[in-house]
Amino acid sequence: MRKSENFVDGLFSNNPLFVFVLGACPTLAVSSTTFGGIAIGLCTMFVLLFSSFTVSLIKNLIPYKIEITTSLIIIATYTAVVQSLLYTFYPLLYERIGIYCPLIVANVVILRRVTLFSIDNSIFASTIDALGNGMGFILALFLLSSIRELLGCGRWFDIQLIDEDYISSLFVLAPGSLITLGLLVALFKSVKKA
Amino acid sequence: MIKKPRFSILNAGFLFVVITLISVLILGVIHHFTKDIIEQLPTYEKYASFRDVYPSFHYVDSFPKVFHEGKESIDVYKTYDEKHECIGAIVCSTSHNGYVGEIDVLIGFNNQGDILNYRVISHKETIGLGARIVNWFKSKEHNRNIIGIRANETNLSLVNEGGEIDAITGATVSSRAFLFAVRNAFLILDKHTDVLSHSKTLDTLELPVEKTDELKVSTLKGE
Repeated sequence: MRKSENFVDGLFSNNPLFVFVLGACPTLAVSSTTFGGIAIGLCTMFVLLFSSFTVSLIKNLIPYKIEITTSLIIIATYTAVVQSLLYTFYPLLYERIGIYCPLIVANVVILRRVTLFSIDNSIFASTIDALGNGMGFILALFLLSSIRELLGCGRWFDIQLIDEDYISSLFVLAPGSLITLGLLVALFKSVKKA
Repeated sequence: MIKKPRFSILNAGFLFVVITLISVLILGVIHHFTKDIIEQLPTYEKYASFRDVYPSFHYVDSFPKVFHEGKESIDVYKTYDEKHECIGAIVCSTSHNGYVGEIDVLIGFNNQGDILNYRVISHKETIGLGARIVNWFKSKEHNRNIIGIRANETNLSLVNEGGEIDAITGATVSSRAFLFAVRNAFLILDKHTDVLSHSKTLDTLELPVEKTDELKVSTLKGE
């Protein structure tokens, strides 16, 4: 597979959220606001990018039996880094994401790419793959959180666009998040089929 | 095909130790560069909140006077003008009756008991419903607004409970809890009028305006 195909693959054809529904827990929890959705997406991409790079860099030193454990230590390190930086420089954003920032360590999107792809591929290919998957995850979160914030709060990026009389709180609650995600997955699959 | 090293307890243990040491080193470096900013954050956040709810003070108490109203604990920070005359107070009031948990509100009062502004500093209310307390009571629409009103001349309860303030649609519990915190804040000031007396004691004063701004700037620059 060509490098550019790796990128497009993660972004569209094998989008981690819309195709595999991976990382759904933080996605549904934080996507009630666009800022929250984008923030958790960026944090996840940061961890994915650096973890893929590092694992790919030392892949020849890791015995087969401890690949997952080693990958987890590396992912945990980068998660702690991103958590610390976010808390220091963007405390309000950190507050908005809350517990889902440290929980990036358990995000399957990252573990899947690191243990399935980066562990067997070159640094460049892994980085491109991580970028594609990371941006695919951000794109999915952006769409989901935009729809939820707009229909549930009447806002988009905290800017009031729809009068409060015409919104439905359903979309910011748990059932609304599942319904929106379901509809987006269906839409994505039908577009892909067409 | 990548040739992987053979697994043994020894080389696995060695690899884990090396990776963990590198991780600790990275985290240590990050901590070293961020610890000063992290130490300043609470102070910066505190003064940014104070400035938001009481825009015109020159000095403010460093430490609050703590009062108790029933189960609730209420912190009162007196505010002063440039001549060190007390011009009002910033009150941090908590309500434990929110829909999910506690609601902490910071409210600025002047000496006449007018509410200058409020800021919800922490809550766990439902986004889209109870979380709208953050801005709902600042809106001029209908009977929502509490900014600028004189707390001793207004019944700070919900309309359907005999008061004068509209509840958030679908979030009566959160609205009630919020107004409870505001009411309690004013009750404390009303009960302890000496709190708002024209005190000139300087021993409780802290950063003047300019220093607060410097602090804000240096925190943002990460110096």
